[in-house]
Amino acid sequence: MLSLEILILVVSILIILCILIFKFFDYLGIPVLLLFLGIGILAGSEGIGRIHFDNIRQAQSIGIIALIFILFAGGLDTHWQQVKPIFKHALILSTFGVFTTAIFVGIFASFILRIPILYGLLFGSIVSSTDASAVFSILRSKNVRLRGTLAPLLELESGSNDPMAIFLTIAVTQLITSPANGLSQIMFFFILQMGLGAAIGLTLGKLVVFMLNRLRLFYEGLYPVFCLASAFLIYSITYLLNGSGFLAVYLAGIVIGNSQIVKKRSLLRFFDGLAWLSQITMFLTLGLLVYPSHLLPITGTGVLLSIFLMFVARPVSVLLSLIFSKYTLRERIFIAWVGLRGAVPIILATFPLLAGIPNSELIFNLVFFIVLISALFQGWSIPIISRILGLSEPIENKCASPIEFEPPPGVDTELIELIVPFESNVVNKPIVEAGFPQDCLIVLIVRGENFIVPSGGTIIEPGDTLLFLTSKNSLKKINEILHRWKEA
Amino acid sequence: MELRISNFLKPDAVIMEMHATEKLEAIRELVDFMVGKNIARNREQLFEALAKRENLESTGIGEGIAIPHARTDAVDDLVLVFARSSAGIDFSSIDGKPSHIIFLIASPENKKSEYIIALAKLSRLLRKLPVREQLRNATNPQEVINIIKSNEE
Repeated sequence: MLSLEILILVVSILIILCILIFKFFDYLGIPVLLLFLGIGILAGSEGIGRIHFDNIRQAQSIGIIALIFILFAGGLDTHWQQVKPIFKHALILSTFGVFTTAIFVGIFASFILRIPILYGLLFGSIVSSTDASAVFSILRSKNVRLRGTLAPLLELESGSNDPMAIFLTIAVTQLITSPANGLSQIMFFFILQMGLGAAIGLTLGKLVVFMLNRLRLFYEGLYPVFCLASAFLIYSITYLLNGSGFLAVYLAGIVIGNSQIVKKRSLLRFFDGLAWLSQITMFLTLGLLVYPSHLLPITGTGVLLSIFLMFVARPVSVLLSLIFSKYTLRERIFIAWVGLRGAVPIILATFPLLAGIPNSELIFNLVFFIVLISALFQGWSIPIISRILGLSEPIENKCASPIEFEPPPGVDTELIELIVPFESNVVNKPIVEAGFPQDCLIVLIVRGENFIVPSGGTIIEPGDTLLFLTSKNSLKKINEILHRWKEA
Repeated sequence: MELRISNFLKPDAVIMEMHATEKLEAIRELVDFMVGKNIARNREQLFEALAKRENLESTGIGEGIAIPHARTDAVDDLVLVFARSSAGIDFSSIDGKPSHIIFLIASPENKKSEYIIALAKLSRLLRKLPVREQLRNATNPQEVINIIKSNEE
């Protein structure tokens, strides 16, 4: 057994390596998932690092904890107003779409691998969900800017479809281990999982909001800690009551993130950092866990299954799920292409492995292979595909904003300069977090002698002169926000 | 654009001690002063523009500073007026403190960029505590102008 200090040293070096390599290769657009997995593989027992790690149970625990954080942070960062219009479509994609993907892949896999249909379906279920962290990180990276409602749809789908994949995996596992289970029992189990998950997540999410706003903690640092413990609590309570813990955590995150809460900014920062740490740790661990030499013999079937998933199962499922939607064909093709597989399948594949189910090692290696292929081809090509399909917005035009604006008669919009009071609540905040009304625009920041064309992330400084393009109506609200005193 | 606040502030546009104690009263006093010194022409037009702006949003920006400002053709060029009040005038600043240093900026409609730059430079300048302290301790108009000149980046 390694000494604690050696373990800390190795872990810290690996994490710092991940960040540095990510920083330097960011321009290549490599999906983080692939990068961190790759570093894990390289550090592993068959790579240059020679770190021996084959504890599946530990890897599974790390994966589950990381997923709780990633889903909770993803929920916190989901803007309900944006996802509300596409909620229905995302819901169909993440239930029906996942189900059909699992069935298609299951049938194909049982045929290709010559294994019983139930084992095929087990494999199909494991790879049926798209990965939240992979989709979030690619869609939010700087070289993708999607038109319309595509980004919120894909993000909501990926955040909410893991519970379905988990349910299917558990259900099929039960069918394998105790075939006596009937369809009615499985349906009951489904309702229990999703119903409890949703109910507990929404209720406890509201409770957390209520408590956060009334706790009056003396130390700001305690707020995120309270939230963190709450996320764990929500997951474990739901799980122990036979509900879907992941669904509950994700929904609770959405409820909390879309409520007015104290110390929201530090909360979001904290969980953003935690989500990154979780991604790095999880992918590194999973990378360490795999033996590349075990992947080699399955290359042929792996490629076949990947192609089937990417070009048949996922597209057909998406087309069926969105049959009643108003998305254009190009948009549907794109949605089908953003079917990134990620950590959840790998973690799910460890369950049958630990349960000692036949064929589970084959399934684990195939799942890993498919995730790699998906990240490599789909993840990498998403920016290009979005441009080819004409779905990306043009890169922002950096021309200087006008200082003059004459509103046409009858238009209730004006350009007005407002000074940021020294002790204003918006000081040192990025513009997005200042809470200005939706229908106003800061076209220019005049800071001393400098003209700054602002973006959402531009930090407001005291004494800045902000040039607002706004309706008279919103002007009142803007002033109210600017003249709100900084919280102590 | 190179714009020096000190170039626009003339020694005779400095009030070392104001009489007013209330916001609109102070604006009235400033306007009267400007018309008296021939800095502005149309008394009512100027007052109306400044008061309208003041009603829209308090120009008290905290730390004892107020910057009443308006674009109006009641002035021919960008003008600045510096005024002080040892008792302090309530400009309904967010920190609740009365304003001791009042900087008035007015500009004709056709000098929008100069106006905005002057506003931005002034609010930036007055962020600095030493500048505020020096201005509060200045004894004559020329000293006020010198303080601003030496602190302009």
